[in-house]
Amino acid sequence: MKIKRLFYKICIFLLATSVYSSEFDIKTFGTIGGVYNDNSNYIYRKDIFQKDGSSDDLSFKTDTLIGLQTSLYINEKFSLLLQGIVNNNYNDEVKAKIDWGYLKYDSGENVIVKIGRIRTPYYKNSDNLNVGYSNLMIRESVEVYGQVPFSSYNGIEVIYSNIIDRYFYTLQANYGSAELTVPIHSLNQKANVEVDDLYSLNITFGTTALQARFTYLNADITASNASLEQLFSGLRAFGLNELADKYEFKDTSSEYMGVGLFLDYNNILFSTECGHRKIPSFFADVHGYYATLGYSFDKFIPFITYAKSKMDVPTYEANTGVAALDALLHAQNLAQSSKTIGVKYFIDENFDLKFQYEHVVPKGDYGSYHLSSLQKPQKLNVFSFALDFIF
Amino acid sequence: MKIIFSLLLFVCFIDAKVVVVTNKKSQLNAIPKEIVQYLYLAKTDKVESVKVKPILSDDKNLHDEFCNTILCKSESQYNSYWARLVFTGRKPIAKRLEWGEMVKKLQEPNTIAYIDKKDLRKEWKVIYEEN
Repeated sequence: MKIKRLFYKICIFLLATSVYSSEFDIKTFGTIGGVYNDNSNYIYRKDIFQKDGSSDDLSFKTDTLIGLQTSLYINEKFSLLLQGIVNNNYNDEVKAKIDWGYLKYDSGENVIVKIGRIRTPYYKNSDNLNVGYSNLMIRESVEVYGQVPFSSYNGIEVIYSNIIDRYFYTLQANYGSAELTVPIHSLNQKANVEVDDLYSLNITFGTTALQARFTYLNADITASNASLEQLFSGLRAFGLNELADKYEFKDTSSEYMGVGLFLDYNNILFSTECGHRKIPSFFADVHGYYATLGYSFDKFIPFITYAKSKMDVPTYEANTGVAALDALLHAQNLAQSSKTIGVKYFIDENFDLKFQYEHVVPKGDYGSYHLSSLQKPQKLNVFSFALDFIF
Repeated sequence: MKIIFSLLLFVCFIDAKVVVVTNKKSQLNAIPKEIVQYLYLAKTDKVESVKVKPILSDDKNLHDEFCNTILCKSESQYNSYWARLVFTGRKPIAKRLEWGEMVKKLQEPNTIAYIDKKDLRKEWKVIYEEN
């Protein structure tokens, strides 16, 4: 909480001083997007932090957002940056929130240090997920990008970049903690999540045409609410300590490993990322990948994507003998695959327009990232468009 | 035949020969294409321990030609790339300069710019030229 208070003080200081500073910069970005999912038994969502989405209707809640970024350049080496967004949240309310904000030190000698609220660098596009204009697709493949349900932490990030011969490399190290609320929509619950001792290491190397990226993150995570506490204390009271130890999400040493390969050569665009979440608890281990291929015809960039996620141990087959625990495990099923075809049209330096069609096949009972009360899975056809802008 | 000749003439006319230049007093000499790309895509700001300041032209045709031939990126890819850098707080967006401003900035050593080769001045030297 102290870190949080300090962070808000920094933000207020930034906003207050920026008014009088000539080195103040303000930028906006956003997306106006519509989604139509043809399956009324599912609510199609961008990620688990959304409650509402498209269910046999046109929804503007899934992708539409507006963001604001302010930068205060104190001197050549120090700057304060803050980014906030307004979008539809997990209570189905349109609310503003601070996405990230930090004090940045740029040595001018290959080293950058950030202190404050920082984006968690799981994926290649973790930092710019909300900036549609900078991305090819309307939304990244949930099979990889949806694995870890928190996007920012409070702490420090150190980045070192350099060149060897004709190749560049970037080393990125992070340390910090986070507190957040994660909705468990299918059980109509929310879990209070504490992430402690989060550390990560990222390595990116290659050329401007071909790059490889490796990620490793580790954190001690606790997820709790009244129902979870009641469930696990109940198991222990009945002597089911083994079950409680296996599934309780308390100070659980959790890992995420990812690897990616990205090509941008002679108008050919290819990107792939594989991710593996290991959280030994009811939150269950999952792995997934996507591969996207595109071609840039000047202003038009058509693309196709295939993505798949799979549970390491299918939670939908869980039969522990405790109904409440089984229901909790069933709700964790994220197995699915999807095929996407779309096009990005570059209008100018401020706008782009995108269309895409996505065919989603959930796998296993009670499954999919998208909300449903069905036990047996059904397929979804999802049509989306988006107008992205930056100023 | 007349149409083809006219088209060829038109293509020659619009297709600027882009070169990267710096002041003759600069410590920089010939640099490889990859390093020019790293400098203009903000992967580095140094060449052999020399701090380099790349500047951009506001001439849209010249800029697009530079992106296509030297950075090997289309206009849309270049813009998406820079949007990513700007909106992740990595780099502020560089201002595109008019010719007069570029000439003035190039008086500073270790500042580099892309120009049409026909505009090369005697106080500048070419540090990268596409074959």
